[in-house]
Amino acid sequence: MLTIKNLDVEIAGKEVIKDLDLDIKEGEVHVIMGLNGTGKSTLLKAIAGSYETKTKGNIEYLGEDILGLNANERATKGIFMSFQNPIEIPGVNTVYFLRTALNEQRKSRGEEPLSSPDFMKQLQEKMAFLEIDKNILQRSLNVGFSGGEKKKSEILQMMMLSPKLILLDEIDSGLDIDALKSVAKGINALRTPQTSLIIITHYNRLLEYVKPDFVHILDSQKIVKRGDASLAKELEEKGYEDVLSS
Amino acid sequence: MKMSYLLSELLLNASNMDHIPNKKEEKWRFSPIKDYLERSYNKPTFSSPEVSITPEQEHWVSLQDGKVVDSYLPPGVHVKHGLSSLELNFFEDIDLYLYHHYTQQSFVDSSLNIIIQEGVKVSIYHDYSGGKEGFILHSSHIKLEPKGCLSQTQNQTLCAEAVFIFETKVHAGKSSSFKNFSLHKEGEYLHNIFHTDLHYQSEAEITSLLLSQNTQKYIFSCDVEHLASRSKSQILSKQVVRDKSVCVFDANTKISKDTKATQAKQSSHALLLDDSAQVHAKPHLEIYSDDLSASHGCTVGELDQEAIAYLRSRGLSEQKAKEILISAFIHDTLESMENITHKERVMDLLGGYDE
Repeated sequence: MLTIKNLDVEIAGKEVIKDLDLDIKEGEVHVIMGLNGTGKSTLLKAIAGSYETKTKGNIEYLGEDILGLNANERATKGIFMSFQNPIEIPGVNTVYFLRTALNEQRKSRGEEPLSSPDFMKQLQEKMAFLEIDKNILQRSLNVGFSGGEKKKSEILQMMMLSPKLILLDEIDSGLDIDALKSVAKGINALRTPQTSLIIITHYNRLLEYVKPDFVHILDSQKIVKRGDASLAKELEEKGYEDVLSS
Repeated sequence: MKMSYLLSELLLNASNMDHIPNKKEEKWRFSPIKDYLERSYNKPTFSSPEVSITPEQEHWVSLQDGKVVDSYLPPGVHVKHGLSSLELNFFEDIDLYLYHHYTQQSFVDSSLNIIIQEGVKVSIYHDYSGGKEGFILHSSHIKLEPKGCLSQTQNQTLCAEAVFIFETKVHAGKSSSFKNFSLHKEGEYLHNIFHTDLHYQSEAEITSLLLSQNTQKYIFSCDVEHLASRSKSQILSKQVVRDKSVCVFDANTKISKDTKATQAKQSSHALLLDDSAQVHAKPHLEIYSDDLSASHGCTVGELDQEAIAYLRSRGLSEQKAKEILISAFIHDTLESMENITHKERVMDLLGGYDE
């Protein structure tokens, strides 16, 4: 699904990632952990094609080098990134935005646009599944949403767009227990043998609901340790210093 | 045979202009009118109508170069008209469509008087077309008797080469209400001037949406005078400025001595889409009373790169993301428009940005 080789990433003129390698196969869930400021979010931004990052090296997605593609081209190929702090956009109606995004992606794949009734049916089903208040449909995108609503809105967008590679940047931060369960339910609903995930998190609690196949620790601009789900538990118990020195 | 005259000569004899404007006057400070003085224009010949209309609305008036060419009005609207003047006196509630067509290269000096009788509610949609290489002076006098209501929507999307100076004087009587929404989208130079006098418990809501491009110059100038207590005014202008175009917001709200419980609000927000685009904003309050609530302010900015990036991360092209954000920016100018038909027409003109 995704092969990263010798990746260097700069953000705001600062080299944040150097010579990073990562290989993710279809159906796998990878978790990236690390201290604040070690480049976890930058890595996801580089994969998603953010305008903020400057990259060198190789990122191959489904057999195609995607470094030359911009963010919307990567999104239409099935890469979805949920943001740590989703931006508020006053005046952009949430339903209009979701329908436009979905139909733009369908158009780029040569598919017919989804009709309004079909779209609304899908949207309402997914909102009910995630236990999202219907009132958010009338509001501008993320405007006045609580922290939990913003994260659920990201998961709703993800479910509507049905991506193949899902990048989740601290999707669990600021969530209460019920909201965390809803978000995890949404993630697991999209977990198929054809879908891969990269999750950035600081805590093990999301991983109790979304079981990872691999856990990586990012430090000093590259991945310094790899393991299975037990590595996240070990980190929570011992902290980075002990785990990295062992 | 059409006779051509220099604009400088035509302006000296125009009924809607008592002198040739110059940049030393505050009102004409940003006006490029001097550039047009040596251009020649024709006086209108009032020939047969160039365009016939089939309005959706039941009641309508069609004008060419300011002269009425056809109309369908109920008995409750009294009409007087001359060569380039029209007076409409409303004695009953009505939703009216006014179609203003201008012929090519003409100098038009037209006037429109509107009188809204006591307690009458009138809604008017003004559609302006034509005016290619023309120079149009249009003066409008509006008198609202007590409890009269006028809600106007003006689609000032003339030909790209048109010059249009529009002056509206409003006298809002006791407990009356005046609402005006104007959209400028085409035209080489457009100057929209409002003077509004507000009496006891009257209200004025004046909204201007300027969408300029190329080398267009759009000026929105609005004076409101609160002459009595409990009056309310709101001036809102939004400008989307592209290429080398220029937009000007010049507003002055005066709150007279001895008025009480006055509410006044002014705001101007501009979106600059190119480095060479310009905005000049001058929100101004002149206050002689101490029992009031008033605010004024302006913002000038560009499209939010983070918002563009967010929309693109969901698969929207850069162009589509920008269109959506521009639509979001202008969204609230349409919010207070109560007439759904007017709102839908404006949304159509905006190319479905505001779905």
